[in-house]
Amino acid sequence: MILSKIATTRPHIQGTKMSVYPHSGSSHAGLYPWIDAFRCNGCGACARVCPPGVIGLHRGKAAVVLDLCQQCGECFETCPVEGAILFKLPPGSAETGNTSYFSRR
Amino acid sequence: MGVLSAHRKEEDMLPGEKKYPHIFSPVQIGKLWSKNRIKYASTETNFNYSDGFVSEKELAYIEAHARGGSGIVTTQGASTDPRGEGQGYVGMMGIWDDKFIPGLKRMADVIHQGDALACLQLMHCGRVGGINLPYTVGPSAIPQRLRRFRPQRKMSVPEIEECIQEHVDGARRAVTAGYDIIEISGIVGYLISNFISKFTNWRSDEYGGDINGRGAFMRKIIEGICKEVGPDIAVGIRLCGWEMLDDVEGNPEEESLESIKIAEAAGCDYISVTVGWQESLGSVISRDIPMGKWLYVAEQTKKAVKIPVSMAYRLFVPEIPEKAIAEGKLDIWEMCRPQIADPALPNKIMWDRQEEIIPCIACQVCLARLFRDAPVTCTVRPSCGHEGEPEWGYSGFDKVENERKIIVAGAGIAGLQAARIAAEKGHDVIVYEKTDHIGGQWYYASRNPWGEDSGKYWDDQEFMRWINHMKTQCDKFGVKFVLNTPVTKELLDREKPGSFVIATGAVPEVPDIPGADKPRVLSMFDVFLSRVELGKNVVILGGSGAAISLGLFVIGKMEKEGIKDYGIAMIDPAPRFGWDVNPSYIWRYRLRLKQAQVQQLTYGQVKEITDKGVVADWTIVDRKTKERQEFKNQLVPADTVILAKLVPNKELGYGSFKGDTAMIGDCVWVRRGFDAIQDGYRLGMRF
Repeated sequence: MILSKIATTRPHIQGTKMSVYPHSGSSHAGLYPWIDAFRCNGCGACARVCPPGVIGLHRGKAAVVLDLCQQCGECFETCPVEGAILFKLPPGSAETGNTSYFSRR
Repeated sequence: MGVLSAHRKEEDMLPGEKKYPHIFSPVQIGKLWSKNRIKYASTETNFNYSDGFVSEKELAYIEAHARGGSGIVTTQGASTDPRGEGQGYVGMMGIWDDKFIPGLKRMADVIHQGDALACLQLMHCGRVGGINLPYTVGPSAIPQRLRRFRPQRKMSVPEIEECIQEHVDGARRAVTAGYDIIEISGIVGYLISNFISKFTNWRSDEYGGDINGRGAFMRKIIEGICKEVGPDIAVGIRLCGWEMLDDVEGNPEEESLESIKIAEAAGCDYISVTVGWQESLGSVISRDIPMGKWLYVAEQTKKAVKIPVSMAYRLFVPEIPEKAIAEGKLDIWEMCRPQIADPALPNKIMWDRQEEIIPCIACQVCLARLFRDAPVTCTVRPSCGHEGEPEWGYSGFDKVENERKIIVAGAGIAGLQAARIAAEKGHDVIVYEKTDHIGGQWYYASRNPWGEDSGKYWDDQEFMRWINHMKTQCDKFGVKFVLNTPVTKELLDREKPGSFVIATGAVPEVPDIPGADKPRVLSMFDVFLSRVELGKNVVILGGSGAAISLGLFVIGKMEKEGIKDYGIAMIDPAPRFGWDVNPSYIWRYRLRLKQAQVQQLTYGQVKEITDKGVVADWTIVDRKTKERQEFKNQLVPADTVILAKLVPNKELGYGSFKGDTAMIGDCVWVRRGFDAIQDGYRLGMRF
């Protein structure tokens, strides 16, 4: 499954001390949990295990307060559903290549 | 560039060019030739930065339109004044300073690369502008009719002259940036239309008075621009053919025609004619207007002027403009929403592959988002605004390496959209549908009684255009459909899919009250399909958009069948009905419910359903005086009760399949069709 390929990038990446979000206060690579709402079954395992307690359930789906996330990866390790939580760079940043650009087509 | 196609031999012509020879014939505008008669009309997108610079997102969007095959591609309106009085949208691009020229030039280059004429629109929003200011400007201080807009301030004569000069400077910058055509916007309540209209112009000086005086502002702008840019650049204007403001003494149609003649005499090279203001009380561009209804306005204009006339409103299919151009009613087919829904529409018509066109359903979500300062999106094309991002698949999705079998439960809009993208990516997709038709709730919604003079009470067929388009796309990519087959655990065990998508949609909620199992308690879907007989007194349990559409359907049915003494009541706990309906539509729906004397029992709680009717509590709150009238245990007489409160269909849950399971659409949470298609698209992107 292609999603598990992406998800094999573990949150603790060695060798970099720079954070993508300056206000995140973290020295990790700046990977954030990203919840696939179509796959999340609302079991709440991630919410129970999250050390800073920034994951909750909204309308039966897990939701994260990204600004307070410490990027520990506990939710990713705990999630029983394959592909429901991935660790990604924050959406829309230059590092993700997620900004729109002038296409070469 | 366009003259070449006039001399082409017939065997070289593409099938669509043969079929629609008038649309694909060249047209002269000033000294320029356009390769065909399709013009992408100016569309605000809110993609640009709020300081007026052109964003990459807007460039990618315009590039998609330039490559789509239109003869003329118009940019969105550019704000001409540095004070922000003319800015009507947060993402509006600016042209008030030379610093904007590089960005504008990139846009012009992108349009030219697509072999189209680049047209820049200068727009001062006037009465509906001043988005970041506490006031708007205009010829006179007239109170606003819509709450969104700010109070208007009268412009002094020096201010008017400065404004004219700013328009001329903007045109000069546009020519520097490389544009071929300069268009001025004077429609729907923008500054030029404020000056022209009797409703907003009460001045007694040189810029007011009769139509010549009211048109002086426009005349001076056009004359100034024509003098500044010279004869090689074409200058056009968009003007109202009919303001639709007769209730507040706006211009009659003769005076609007007169203003168009003034524009022609001042040196315009083409006229784009429109209908209605934002403050008009009638509907102009929504689904209840039959396609081509406003062509008579273009015809009148065409008789009055010698220059080309273009028109945009409600011309979604090529047959109508083709006929109009052939009959001499129209010169240029302008389009805005159909091309938001599918930028490649002209090319697809040219190759006569019309079944591949993503059809606009006139849902107005683009407009509603503009007025909420959000970037434009499209219900039927979720890649709108992401044309430059390959993962959004505007130009198609690549095949993936690990193909697998995907089972989709439910052939509603979410399921169809997900199935189509998964199949395009190379997966083996099977869609199982419980009923005997595809399209889900849109199949029922397509029976709504909109459309004038249709002679039927189900004529909202535009929904089915999208369903049929999606079906042909699914067939093209090899999606297998299995109808009349619900997905069960045994079926999943037998088929062993790699992924399972639950898109079972919504079902009407059966309330947990005595009498809910009586035979006269009907499901709304059965009513839409006319499988059941309705009595004269109908009670609808529900108040969302779906319930309102059911109410309209029942009204239409009663009226068409000639039943006069019908009574309809709606009961729902909500304080106001239709909270989830697009604001462009809800006011008309409420008006229609009021005309048909539908009782809207707000804050309602149903206690019991008896043979005589429904026993319920409700509270009516007067919207002006805030007076509350409480009713307890009242009987609403009814011989038919229709369940119209939709809840997620949970017959298949996450536990129904052990492998990769995803849930999309209304079975997650009941929302609008927009969200269902977005869900399907976003899930399809992840496969």
